[in-house]
Amino acid sequence: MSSRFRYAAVTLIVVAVALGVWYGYPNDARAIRRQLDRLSADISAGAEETDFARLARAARIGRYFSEDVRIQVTGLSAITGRGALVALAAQARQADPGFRLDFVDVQVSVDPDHQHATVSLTARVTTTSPAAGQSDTDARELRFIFRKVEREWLVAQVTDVAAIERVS
Amino acid sequence: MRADGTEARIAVKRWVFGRNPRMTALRVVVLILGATAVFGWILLPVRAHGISMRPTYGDGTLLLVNCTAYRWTMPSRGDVVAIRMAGWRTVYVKRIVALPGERVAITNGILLVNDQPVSEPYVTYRSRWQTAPVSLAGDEYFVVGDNRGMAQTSHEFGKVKRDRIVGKVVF
Repeated sequence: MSSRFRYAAVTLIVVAVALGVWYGYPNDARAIRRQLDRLSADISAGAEETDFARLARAARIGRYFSEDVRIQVTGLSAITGRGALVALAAQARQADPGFRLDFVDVQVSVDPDHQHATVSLTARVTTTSPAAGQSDTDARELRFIFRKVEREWLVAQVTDVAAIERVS
Repeated sequence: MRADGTEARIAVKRWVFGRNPRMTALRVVVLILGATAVFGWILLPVRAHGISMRPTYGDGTLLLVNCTAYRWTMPSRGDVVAIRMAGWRTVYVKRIVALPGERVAITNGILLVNDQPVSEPYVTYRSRWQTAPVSLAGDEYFVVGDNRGMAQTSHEFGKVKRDRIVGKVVF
């Protein structure tokens, strides 16, 4: 084995170990990002499910939110409390198998006390028109407030942010 | 036979990696870094979703946004710009129709800037939109899509801060 090859192999191993440590090390911002990934995956995964599966998924979605969560988004009535949110999720039959929610451009800012965090992101919703079979995408900027409850980051508040301020 | 096979392998290897594989690798790395820099920070590719910019840009059109366009100059009236949400991956594409300090209103679908009607040759479809006059602050622009034929309530338009404007749509 040539020395050049050995150097390259050692460098690769060092880089791989450094990346492993970097991504594996417990970090609040990464924990919040993971929580958001799981939330979007659970909300998206609803195609052709049974009533029982839908109820189970609604309960699972509730686990991402604090007991006193408040969701206030323009155009929708405000939701207060985890119970109300779970009830709403259980009622919402997802007739659209193409429904998908993605969180992009996620920016996490953890407070110095490590108990609260503010997340700015763009929520991208893709739906499919049953008649035309075409997909439609809508996006909205959201602001999440996370709170740490028993070592778990839970969503305590969701509000929307207007990139363009509407005039009437 | 064996000699033919070896020659073929060498020919394929030369075709894939070139005469000097080290230089080919270097070219590939430079190409990847260059493309990442250009399409990540200078010319941002975005895909238009929706019909609010019809007929200028239809649904699904791939656009390129020049992110350096307003580094040394200010946005001007008529520019089609990308407006960021939380980041650059999802943006609105709208046209600037009024500048900071101006007073803007829409009356029966006609755009009025400082109480004067503005000619908008890019607008083909026009409904009778109505908005109350608003004055723009020193860092605010008024943006609206070219499709004024759609329902006013379904169309995202209004005031936008300068720091939300990512760049100018070039093509």
